[in-house]
Amino acid sequence: MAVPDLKTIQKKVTAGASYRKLVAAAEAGQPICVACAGVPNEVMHAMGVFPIYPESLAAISAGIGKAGPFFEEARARGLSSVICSYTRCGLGICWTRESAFGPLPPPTLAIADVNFCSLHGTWWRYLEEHFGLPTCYVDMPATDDPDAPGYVEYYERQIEAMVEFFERHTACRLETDRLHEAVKQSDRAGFYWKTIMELRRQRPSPVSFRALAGQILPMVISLGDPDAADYYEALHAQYVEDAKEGKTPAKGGERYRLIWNGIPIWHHLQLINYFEERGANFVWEPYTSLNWGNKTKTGRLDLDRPFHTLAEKYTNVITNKTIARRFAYFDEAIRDYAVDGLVMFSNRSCRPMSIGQHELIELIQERHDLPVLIFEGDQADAEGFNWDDARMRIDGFIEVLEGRAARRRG
Amino acid sequence: MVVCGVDVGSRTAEAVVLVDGDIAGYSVIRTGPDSAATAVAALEQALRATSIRSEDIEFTVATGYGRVVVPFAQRNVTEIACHARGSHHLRPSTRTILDMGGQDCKAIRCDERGKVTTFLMNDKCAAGTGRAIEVMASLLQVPLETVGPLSLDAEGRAATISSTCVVFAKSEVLALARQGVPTAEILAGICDGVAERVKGLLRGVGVVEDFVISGGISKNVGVVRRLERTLGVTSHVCFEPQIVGALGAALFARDFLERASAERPGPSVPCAPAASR
Repeated sequence: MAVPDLKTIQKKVTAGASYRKLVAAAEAGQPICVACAGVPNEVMHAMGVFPIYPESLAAISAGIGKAGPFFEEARARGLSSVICSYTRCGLGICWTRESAFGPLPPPTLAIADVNFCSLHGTWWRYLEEHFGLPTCYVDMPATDDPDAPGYVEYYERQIEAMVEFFERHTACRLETDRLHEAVKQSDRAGFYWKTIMELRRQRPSPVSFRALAGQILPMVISLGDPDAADYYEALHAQYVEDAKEGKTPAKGGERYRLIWNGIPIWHHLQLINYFEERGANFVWEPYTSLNWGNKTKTGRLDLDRPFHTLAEKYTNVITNKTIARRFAYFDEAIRDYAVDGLVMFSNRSCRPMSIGQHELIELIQERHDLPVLIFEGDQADAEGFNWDDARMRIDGFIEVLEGRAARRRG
Repeated sequence: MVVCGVDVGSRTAEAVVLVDGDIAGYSVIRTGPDSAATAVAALEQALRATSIRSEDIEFTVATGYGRVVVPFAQRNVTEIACHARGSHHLRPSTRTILDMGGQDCKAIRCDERGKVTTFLMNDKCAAGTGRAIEVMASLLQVPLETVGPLSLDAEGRAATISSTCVVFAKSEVLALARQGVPTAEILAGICDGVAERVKGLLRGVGVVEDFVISGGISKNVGVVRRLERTLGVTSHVCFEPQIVGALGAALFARDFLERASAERPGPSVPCAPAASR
């Protein structure tokens, strides 16, 4: 089968297109569910439940400079600025029923999962109270061993409970064929995403983290949708071509290969471009592989055991792993991707991502002797961000990398 | 060989002119709202006591927050690299530098050649910076240069100032003054707070001697002594710690010029300003 045309398919999966699909779904009478990142959306897609993702809308709003009114709404309702900016902006979006693209249709139910972030529980409680929505809380308890069979089975039961919740509160029913198709499309999308990530092992890597920050959206909100799978197939084909031609986003050639640890700084994504202008390219981030890219033992989803395979994938996320396990993840990436340095985003909004960073840095430097740049700031709230200060840190870090390269050359 | 380094910081700007590697002139002035004009003024003042004219300068490197707008600089280098370079030049055994500036603090480690190996900066908040001390000195109507010595008079009796934020700390300081807490004790609390915050940065990079402090706050003996005590190390401060960044920039200018001369043998000519990178 021919690879879909990238430009054509891209138009179907943009943030604007996703918004239009949402409006159309609401007009067609589909249930609209306020969902958090990390909920298995393959199941919602299979059941005909259309999700709204406040976190994604918050990130997009911050990325295009339209988050201000939502933060103001949250502030007016008494939310302190020390609360996660996704939560503040996301609640602002839900309270105002507005988005960067237009008004949001009224939601009919809500679902939260704590696999990425335990704050989801509190956040969705607000939504439940404000909108009086039936709300499902998908549980993923803290554990030292998220790979244990019992843990994965527990989450499998949670997915079943999620289906029961939707069937109880809507007219939607889960049909095996539709679930099978959704998991198949998710597997296709995940496969191509994973293969794109692996392409970045090449020197130079043809992929820009800045571009990925936008390209990841269908992976977060549309898994199960064949358009998302087609998009990643086309995107993969494009990157394969770029790799063959030796293309790289790093200006003047890829001189330094870096890891970015954390969520992108959505309100100043040009910061990534500045690294690229200075010859540095991000080749790996835990964020872009959070639980995207078929994170099962085989790297594929098992179509014969859809709930189990989704449970295996959704429980395999770095944020529920111990520091030692997180280090192993970095250790492998540093070797596989021939990394020259790390940028650690100490994100005041995201405890699950930022916690243990200091210990992680110590472990990494003990084994790899790599320079580390620490960025302090916030993922979506630009308050306090100073571009001069950011540029100073990046310039200083590039000077350190240059010095190390010069020493290696003798 | 006549080269220049200009450091345009948030509170002060400095220029250092080197002639064959020796300091021929230097200046420290207040930064104005126009960074480019400030740089020109700093250079003019540095040249004032010398017979050197600005057109004699063969290469200029700019550093500091205003480094990208210095009109007569051919290159710019971060103050992280410049403070390491300047400190190492003045004291070749330097391995750790603390640059305590008006707007931020940087803990820097360098190697035996003065090259930066790692660094940490404080976040954007003014806490722990020269500006914070200036604000408090002004509030208490104490000359800035007396803050350090006065704070040492009240060692062991430091007032507790719990706010990290300078804006909130101001309210606390005012309240303490109204309660009749002696000024020396308040200043001791302020210096304790600054030393405590900076200590975290230094521990982050690891302090290896020799330990050099540069930047304006290094003139504050109260902060310096507290840091030495809490870290258990001796610090070294050069004759004019505010020019260390500009000196480093001038040394980089010399390197660039030598490299350019080596690549293009012939008479040395002044370089035309190039677009800042």
